[in-house]
Amino acid sequence: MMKQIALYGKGGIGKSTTSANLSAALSEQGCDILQIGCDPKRDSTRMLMHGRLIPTVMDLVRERGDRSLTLNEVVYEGYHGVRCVEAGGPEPGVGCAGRGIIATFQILEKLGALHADVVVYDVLGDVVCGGFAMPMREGYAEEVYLVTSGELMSLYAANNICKAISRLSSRARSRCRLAGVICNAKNLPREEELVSEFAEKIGSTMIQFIPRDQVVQNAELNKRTVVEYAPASRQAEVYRSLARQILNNRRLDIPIPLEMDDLEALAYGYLRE
Amino acid sequence: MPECINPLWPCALTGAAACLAGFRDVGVIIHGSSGCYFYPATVLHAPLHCTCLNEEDIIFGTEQALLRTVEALEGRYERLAVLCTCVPTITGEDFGKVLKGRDILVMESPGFIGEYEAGYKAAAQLLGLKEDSSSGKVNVDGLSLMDPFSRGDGIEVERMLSLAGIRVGARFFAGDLSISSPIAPFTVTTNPDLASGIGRLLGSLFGLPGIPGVLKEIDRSVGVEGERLETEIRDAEERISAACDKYLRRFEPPDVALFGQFSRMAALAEMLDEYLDATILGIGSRNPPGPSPYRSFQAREISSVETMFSEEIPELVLGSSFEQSLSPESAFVGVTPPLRGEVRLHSRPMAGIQGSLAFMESVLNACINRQKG
Amino acid sequence: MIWKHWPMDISGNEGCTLTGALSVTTEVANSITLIHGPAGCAHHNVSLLQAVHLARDRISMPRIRSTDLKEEEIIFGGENALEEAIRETTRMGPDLICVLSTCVTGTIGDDVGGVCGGDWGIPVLALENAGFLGGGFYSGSLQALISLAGLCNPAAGNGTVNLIGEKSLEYEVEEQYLETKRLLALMGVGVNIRFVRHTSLPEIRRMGEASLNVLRDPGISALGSHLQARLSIPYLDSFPVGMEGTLRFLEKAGDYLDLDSSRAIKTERTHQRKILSKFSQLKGKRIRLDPSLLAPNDREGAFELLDALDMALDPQGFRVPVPDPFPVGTSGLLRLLHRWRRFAHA
Repeated sequence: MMKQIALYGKGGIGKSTTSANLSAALSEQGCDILQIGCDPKRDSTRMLMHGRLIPTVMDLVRERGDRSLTLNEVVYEGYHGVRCVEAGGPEPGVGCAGRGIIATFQILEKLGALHADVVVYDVLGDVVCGGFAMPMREGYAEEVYLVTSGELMSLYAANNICKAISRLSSRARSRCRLAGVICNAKNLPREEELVSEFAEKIGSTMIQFIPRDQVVQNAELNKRTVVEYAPASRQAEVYRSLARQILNNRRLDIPIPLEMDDLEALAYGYLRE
Repeated sequence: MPECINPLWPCALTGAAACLAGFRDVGVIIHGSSGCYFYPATVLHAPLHCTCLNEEDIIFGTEQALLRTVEALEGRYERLAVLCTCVPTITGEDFGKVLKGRDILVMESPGFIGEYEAGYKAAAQLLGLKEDSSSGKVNVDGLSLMDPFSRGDGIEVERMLSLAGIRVGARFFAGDLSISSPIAPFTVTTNPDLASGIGRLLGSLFGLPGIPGVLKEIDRSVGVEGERLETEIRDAEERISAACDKYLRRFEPPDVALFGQFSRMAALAEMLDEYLDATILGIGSRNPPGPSPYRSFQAREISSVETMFSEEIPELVLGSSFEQSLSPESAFVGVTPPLRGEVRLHSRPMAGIQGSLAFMESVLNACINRQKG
Repeated sequence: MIWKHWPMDISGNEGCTLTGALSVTTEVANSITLIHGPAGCAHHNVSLLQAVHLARDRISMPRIRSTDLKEEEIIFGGENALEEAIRETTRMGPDLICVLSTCVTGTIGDDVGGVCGGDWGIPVLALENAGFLGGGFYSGSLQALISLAGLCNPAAGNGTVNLIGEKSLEYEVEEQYLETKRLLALMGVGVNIRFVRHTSLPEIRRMGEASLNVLRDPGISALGSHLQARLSIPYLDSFPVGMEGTLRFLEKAGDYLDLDSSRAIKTERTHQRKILSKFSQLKGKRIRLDPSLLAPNDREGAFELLDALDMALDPQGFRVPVPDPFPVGTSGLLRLLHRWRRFAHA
């Protein structure tokens, strides 16, 4: 059965690194993977593509002036056979990136591109307008993973995404649920405990703690995922563990978003101690 | 109420387009999709232009589409005006950079911001027309390309003013205005709800009872040779009185419901009350209603009209084709656009002396025809 | 592209996709169409549709609801307004609600399909491409027809015919329908449903019972193929056009329905000859028309008449109208010949 998962989190939190390493690890575990970058920044799949910025669906549409694309033009095979797609979008300050995501999904549907053992959607997490909630709509991702560090702003963004999930899950046919929280650490004191408590407070669980490690930078400088660049490293094992967790995960929750005050109190409590 | 059924009045975009299309040398560009262009072009019967945005433009930004259209039109008009529809307003692009160095008016006129009058007024104010205080002329205001009576109103007011020895300044916004036209310091209107705000307003010539007062105002400002007009007004009043009196000898006066822009409907209601002793059931106003001795409410969608008709079916309905189709048993006089399904060729006024006569004539004929069954 | 001419043809590609979709959805009896967007979009279309209806003596006004979005909903999302509007609308007891999204809700990214997919007790169709930038009248109407087709199921054929995609804004729509119906009746074939023209939801659900679909024109062949795949009903790609075309129509319909069409064709051919004989004054006339402006079907229909009446093309000749779409069947030709004769008199 096809599994569709979406990774949401604040910009700059390491979603793309996590997604790419997750896709690489899942692929090594024998799954057929499709990773779709949903961020006008278009670099979600770059490490999987060994540094290459693949043409985005929106760029192709713009160059052509129509939507007669083929599968080969939008899907690129990267590390270990992981298939990569980038939605793309406008330059900052113009146009409407959210509509770009919607248009990309329509094109992928038409091309029949959305099939794999696991489809990984890597989504800009500050859900700013309806278009960025597209991957959570009916027929797409049923499991949403929040990627966050222990920083307040990162938790704040994750909490906002909970609001979107809980709103969507009130619909009769919506199957979109929160599947877990991934802590991508910034090396803050007691960060693992903080994120773990946050996860429980919103009615979910932290499924993986990813420590901060220099090897991530080194892999990136070599335009590789950690899983490929340093397969024997501890960090690579963390990503493989994440992949196993996600494959075996059966927990799907309707999250209870925290009030702003509660969220601040939670973060403040860890800061003080 | 968060929703409505069959909205009866156009949005701000159409209002802004109606104002700017009233200039013969302003090129109006609707910055939006073709659907937003089609309707104003149809109801205004004016040459508008459109950037015809498609989905790709929205995603990547609409600057190029705008630039293309602007370049294609340059040199054809004195001035270009860009009206932004809902979508480019939402995506919030700044067109200052792409239009830099060009003297182009850019205006946000999204439909979600309000109705026709709001867009019309905003566009009129955007123009920044300069008044020439030394001119002894008087501008005519309230004309609009959407109004089927506008051509007739323009002609009638001009006739009345020239009869009084007054020269006409600019006509807002009837299609013949130039962006460089001299603007007189005084203005009379044919439709107070479409107020350009340009020139000191001396009053409304819509509705016979109010006209003598306005003539006095004009006299105070620029001087009037009023005798011939005064005679004509007295004559018109006598003819209306005689016709109404004759009607009342056989029939009871009608119960009337009026639908349209508020100030005009209030003036028509006053005439029907005064000359025909009609009972005014209510004024369903397209725009927010002002104070009035008559029952007034906003009727911008069909259910408010239906609610009124469900209380009591009026014997006479004044309004648009929408009201006409909702009350097939009532006598009907079309006073508000759209007026569909009838042929109109001559420039029939509703303002001024002739306009009041034409209106009362239509009312009496409609009532008499209904009495005949 | 810049448009500077008017009036334009709203039934062509110039119109808004919303108008196209509405020309279909407002034809479903006891259904309500809800436009999710600012009130202006709804007003435009109410006004245009009413104008078209009045031109055809249809007094009743189409009822179109609008979610009447204002700036607040645009900033904070319009899904709640849509949900509330659907809830209100279901209270009015329709069989079906069609929700059309607009440029505005498409841009802010409201999940119209998600909201419509709720448990409303009646079908609530989301037509999400409707109104979105680009496309045009045709794509809007085609999309609406395809969505509505989702409401019916395959069934055994009963020998009748569905008429697919009549242009409800066409001035002569009823005449074209009656002529096609008359021709089918020559072979004893009845019309199952009109998809969609004054058609109720229960009728639409019975669409699968027909044995043949007749499309209004080849422009909607995609819909014909879609219905063939879904309901296993073959299709003829056009209403009958032209003299020979009308006879061919009978023959092809007969083939699909496994009927002997020879008698019907003979009757119709005699009828056509009788009509032509009434217009003998047109014989030998020189007329003016520009073939490059005509669609292939229309050109064939026009040239056939020229040949039949020994008329010749001549740039100095009488100018005659060749309507687009070309009138349907033999009765359509009769009306056209009257118009041509009037021009020849003039």
